[in-house]
Amino acid sequence: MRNEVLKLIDVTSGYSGKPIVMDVSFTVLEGEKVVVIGPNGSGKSTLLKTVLRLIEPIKGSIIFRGIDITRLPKSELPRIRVRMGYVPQEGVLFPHMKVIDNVALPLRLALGMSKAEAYKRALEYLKLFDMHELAYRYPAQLSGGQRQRVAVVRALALEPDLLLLDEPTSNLDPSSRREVVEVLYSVARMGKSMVLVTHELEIASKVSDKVIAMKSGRVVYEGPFNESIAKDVYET
Amino acid sequence: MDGDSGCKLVIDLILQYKSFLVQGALTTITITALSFSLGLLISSILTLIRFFGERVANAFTKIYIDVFRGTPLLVQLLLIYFGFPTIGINLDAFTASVIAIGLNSGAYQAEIMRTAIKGIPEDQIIVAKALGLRDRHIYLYIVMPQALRNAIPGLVNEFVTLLKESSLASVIGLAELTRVGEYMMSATFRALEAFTIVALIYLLLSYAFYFMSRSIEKRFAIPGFERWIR
Repeated sequence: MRNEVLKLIDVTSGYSGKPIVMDVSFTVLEGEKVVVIGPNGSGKSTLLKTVLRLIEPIKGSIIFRGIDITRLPKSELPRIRVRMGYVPQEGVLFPHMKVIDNVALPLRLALGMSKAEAYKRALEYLKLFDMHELAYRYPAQLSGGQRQRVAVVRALALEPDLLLLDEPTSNLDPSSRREVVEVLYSVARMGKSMVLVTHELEIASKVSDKVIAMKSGRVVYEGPFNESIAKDVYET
Repeated sequence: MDGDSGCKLVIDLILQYKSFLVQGALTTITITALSFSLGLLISSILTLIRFFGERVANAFTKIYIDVFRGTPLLVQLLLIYFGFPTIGINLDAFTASVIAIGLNSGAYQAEIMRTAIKGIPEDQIIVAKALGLRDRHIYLYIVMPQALRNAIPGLVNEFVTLLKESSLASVIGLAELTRVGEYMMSATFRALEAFTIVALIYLLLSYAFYFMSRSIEKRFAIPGFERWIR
């Protein structure tokens, strides 16, 4: 039986005490690919940020590798977060750093690797995704798709226990989208545990071991990808 | 007085008082550089408090900024030079000027840094946290390198402002550039020529520092940050 990487138990969270995500429970097993779908405003991104405790849960428990992270003091959070590789919407990179510095920075500062080790690993991961030629460019010199791919590589280079991807294909032109989708499929084949938030049912159908459908902050379906249920979620 | 004789008078006056003018300009530049550096140190501390500090510390920074921005620099200078001796602190005119202008500039530079930090999208801070970076790392590696680049134009403006505001030190008798102009006027009774020369030197110095700032901006320019290169 596969180990549980992440377990959410009745998690409610939101902003200024106003719940956005309500009573969400699900489990991510070792190597499992969970895709969260749902219309805008359904709480998908809030859910990912809650898992990272970037948004504090109002109630419930988030168990990561057996540790209830909702009970941890804030000072302990960085060492947990670094074990969850996060890929934000629109591939937010640090614009004053070259691509390789963007990838190496968390390796040095969050994982405590030496500068030489961090840059070696950063380059290895960029090569793995055929992006080493971009290593010495600045984010402003990249396309939207390239930036998003770098953000994926930055998360993967941490060799995390769990990947959290927040709508990695949103706001991309068709060719950039294709690039990112290819990277997502490669990552999925690597056998990493992941939670992927997306609107794209095609990606959900190809990547997911399990789909979580959300509507108005609540989970309305959990199970294998099912096209008719998925489409229902998007109907008002 | 025709134009030619006016120019000749100005040139004669410059030649006659050139060593005083050079000395006055050097004093002006020294006060400016030292008070700017003091202001930078103060603003760095205020910025750190704002980033990491709790409510009480933040209230202190706000009071500091409000007091120094809400009262005239000349009054602050007079208070330090003439007022402090009554509480046992005796400062010479040069030190009093550097401290008064530096303390005042610290408040303005802190506001420049605040605006520069506000220009950094919050997404970057969220992502940095999500990647496991601690607050001190975020401040040092993400916030400050970008904020300083954003702040360069504002800081250069502040430097040039200080260059001109340092003329207030003449009031407490410091022999900086404006004071040299007063000497020249007293000795020759040629106020128009004397202060024209002084104004031209201030103008030249301002241009020189603006020109230098362009090279600083270009030196630190990276793709995506060109917006502040004029």
